[in-house]
Amino acid sequence: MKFRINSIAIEGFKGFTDQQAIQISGKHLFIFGSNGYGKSSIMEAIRWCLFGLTGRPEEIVRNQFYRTGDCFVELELIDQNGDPWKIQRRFSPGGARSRMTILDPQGGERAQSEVFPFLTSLGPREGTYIVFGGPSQLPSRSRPLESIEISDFGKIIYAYLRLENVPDLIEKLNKLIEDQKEEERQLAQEIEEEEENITDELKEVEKQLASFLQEPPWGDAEPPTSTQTKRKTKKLIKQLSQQKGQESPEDLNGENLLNLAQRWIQDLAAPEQEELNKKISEIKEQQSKVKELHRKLQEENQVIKNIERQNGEIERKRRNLLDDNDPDGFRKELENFNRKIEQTSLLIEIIKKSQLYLENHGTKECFICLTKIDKKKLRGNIEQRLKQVEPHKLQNIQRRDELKTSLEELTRLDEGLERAKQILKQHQDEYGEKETLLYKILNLEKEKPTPENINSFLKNLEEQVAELEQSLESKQEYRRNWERKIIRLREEIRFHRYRDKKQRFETLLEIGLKPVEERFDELVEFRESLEEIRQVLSFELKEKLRDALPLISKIMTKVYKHLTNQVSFDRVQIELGEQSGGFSPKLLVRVVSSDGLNLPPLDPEQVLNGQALSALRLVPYFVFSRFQREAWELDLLLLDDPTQSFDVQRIDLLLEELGTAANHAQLIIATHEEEHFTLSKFFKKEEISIIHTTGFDIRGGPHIEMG
Amino acid sequence: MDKNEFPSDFKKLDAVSVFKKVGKQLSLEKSRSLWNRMQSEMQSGSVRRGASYAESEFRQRVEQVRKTLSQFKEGVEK
Repeated sequence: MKFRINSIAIEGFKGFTDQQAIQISGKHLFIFGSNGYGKSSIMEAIRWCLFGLTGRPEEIVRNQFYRTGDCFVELELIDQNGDPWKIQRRFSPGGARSRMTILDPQGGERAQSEVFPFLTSLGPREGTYIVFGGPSQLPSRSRPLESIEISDFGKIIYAYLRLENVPDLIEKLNKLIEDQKEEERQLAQEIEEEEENITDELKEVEKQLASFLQEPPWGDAEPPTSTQTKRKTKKLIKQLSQQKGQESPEDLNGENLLNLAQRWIQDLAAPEQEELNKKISEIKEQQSKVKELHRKLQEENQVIKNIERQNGEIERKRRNLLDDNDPDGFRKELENFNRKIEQTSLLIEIIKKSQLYLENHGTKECFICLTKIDKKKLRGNIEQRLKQVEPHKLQNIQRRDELKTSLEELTRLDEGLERAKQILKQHQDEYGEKETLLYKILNLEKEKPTPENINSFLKNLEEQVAELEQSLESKQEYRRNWERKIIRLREEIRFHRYRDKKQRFETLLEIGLKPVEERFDELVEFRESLEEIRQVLSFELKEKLRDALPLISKIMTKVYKHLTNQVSFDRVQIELGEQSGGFSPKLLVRVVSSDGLNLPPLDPEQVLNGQALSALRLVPYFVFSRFQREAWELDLLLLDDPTQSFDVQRIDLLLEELGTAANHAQLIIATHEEEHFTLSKFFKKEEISIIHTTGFDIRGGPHIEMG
Repeated sequence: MDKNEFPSDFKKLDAVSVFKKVGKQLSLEKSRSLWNRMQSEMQSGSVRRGASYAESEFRQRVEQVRKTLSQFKEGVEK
C-alpha cells in the first residue's frame, strides 16, 4: 500500500507550543519563510514522527517552555484508496522515550511492521526514502539524530541499492567478534589463572608431602593405607571407651575420633594427676614453711645474741662510769660542788666590792667594825685574799662540770639499756612464737626443735615428694603413651590428606579442566564461524559492488552534470574503500575531471564549490528513487533548504529534477528563497500546497499562514 | 533520467541476493548452520534480529564456559 502525507499537526515540538495543523491540499508542500521562523522545525517534526530519535535523549525535541510539557506530532496519511491513516508520536512528560501509534481508517491500532514492512525492515534510515537537503545549515544540536546524512554518500548509495543490510550486518559482526575476542581473552586468562592456582597448590602439597616423608612416623616400613589407619583409630577409641566406660561412637571420622580420644585421655588422667600434684604441692609448701621458720629462728637467735652482747657492753660502761659509786652519790656531790661554787662566788664578789670601796672612798677605818686600819696593808690583804679564793673557785667549777658530764652519760646509758631490753624482749617473744609454731609442725611436744630433728623432718618430706612425683610420672607416662599413639595416627591422617590432595589436584589438572576447555573451544569455533561469515559477506558484497559501481558512477554523473553543468570535476566516481579491518567495504564518492588534466579522483568536499556539493548531495535520490520506488510505502522527499549555495540560474535545473521526481514522490520542501522557486514551470498548480512561516515568538511558536 | 537506463541486474543487487550467496560459500558446517539460523531470523525480522541471534548464541556460549569454570572452581574449593 502506498501513502502520502495529507496533514501535519505539531504540539510542543522544538519551537512549537499549542497544537498547529498544516493541511497539504495538493500532493506536494512548499514551505517558504525567512530563516529562524520554524521551517526546519516542521521538517524535523515530520521526520521525528516517522522515526523518533535513537541513540540520543529525546528530551532535546521537547519545548521546555511549553506549559503542558507534552510533545506530539501527528501525520495524517492518505492511502491509495483515499482512506485516512494516522501516525502519531507522543513524548509525554516524565517518559523516557516517545511512543509511536499507527491508526487505520477505522481507528484501530496497527503494527508498524504490518503497515510499513519495507520501512520497518530498513529501520530508521531515512536516506533510503527521505532526503534532508543541506543538513550543514542546521546547528548541530538541532540536527536530526539519524546518523545517515545526505552527505554520507556511501551509506546513501548502499541504502538506495538496498544493500545497506550487508555492511550493517558486517559492522554488527565486527563488533560482536571484537566483543567475543575480548571475552575469550578474559576467559582464557581466568582459565590460565585457575590452572596456575592448581599447579601452585599441587606444588605446595608435593612439597609438604616430600617434607613429611623425609622422616615418616613409620620409618622404613611401608606407609599405612587409609584402611589401616582407620582400623587402628577404631581400635584405639575402643580401648579407651572401655576404660572410660562409654560406648565408642560410630558416626565420627578419623580426626574427630582422635579429638575425642584426646579428651577421654584427659578425662581419665587428669583427676589423679591433679590429686598427686595437689599433695606434692602441699608437702612442698610445708617444706618451705619449715625451712623458712628454721631460718627465721636462726636469725632471731642471732639478733637476740647481738642485743645481749650490746647490753653487756652498756653495763660495763656504766660500771666503769660509776666506779663503785651509785648515781645518787653522784648527784649529792654535784649539789655540794654547786654550793661551794656559790659560796666562793659570793666571797669573791664581797672582796671585789671591798676593794672598790677602798679605792673610791679612801677610808681609814673598817666600814663594818670601824676599827682603824692601815689602808695600804688592807689593800694588800684584800688582793692576797682574792688570789687565794679565785683558783679555788675554778677548781670547783671544773670538778662540777666533770660530775655533770658523767651523770648525763649515765642517764643516756640507762635509757639505751632500757630500750635494748625492750627490743630484746620483743625478739625473744618472736622467737618463742616461731618456736611454738615449729613444735606444732614437727609434731614435737616438749622436745626442742633442733637442726637434727628439723633436717630429719625435711628429709622425710622430700621422700614423700619423691614418691608422689614418681607416681605422677607414671601417670603422665600412661597419658603420654596414649598421646603418642594419637599423634602417630594424626600423622598418618595428615599423610593420607596430603596424598589424597595431591591425587585430587593431579586429577583436576589432568581431566578437571577438560569440560571448561571443551566449552572454550566451542566458543572459539563459534567465533571462527562468525569470522568466516563476515569474510564471505564482505567478499560477496565487494563482488556485487565491483560489478555495479562503474554503471552507478555513470548514471550519477549524468544527473550531476545536468544539475551543475560542471566543466572540471564533472564525473562522479564511486570507489570501494576499506574500513573495519578490511571486512566492511566503504563506498567513497569521488569526482574526476574529463578535461585531460590527468588528476586522480578527488574528494568532492575538497574540490567542489558549495553549489556543486549541494547538487551532488541530491544526486543519489534522483538516480535511485525512480529505480526502486515500487518498494516504498512512503515515497517522500523532504528537503530543507536544498538550494543553499546554488547559483540562482541553477535553481531551475534543480526544480526540473524535482519536477521529475514529483511524478512518483511526494515532495516537502522548505526554503527561504521563494523568489527563485518558479514552481509553475515545473509543477502542476493543483498538486502543490504552499505555506509561509511569517514570524516566531517563544509563547506562540512559528506563525504559519496557508497559501 | 530515463528509467530504461537502469539495468535489470540492479534489481538483483540487494542484500537478499548477497545473503543468499553467502550460505553456499561457507566452508565450515558450523558456519553454515549458524548462518542459516541468522538468515532465518533476518527473514522474519531484520538484520538486527540476525545479529541479535548471533550475539545471544555467543553470550550463551560465554555463559557455558563461565558456568563450567565456576563448577570447576567449586570442585577445587571442596
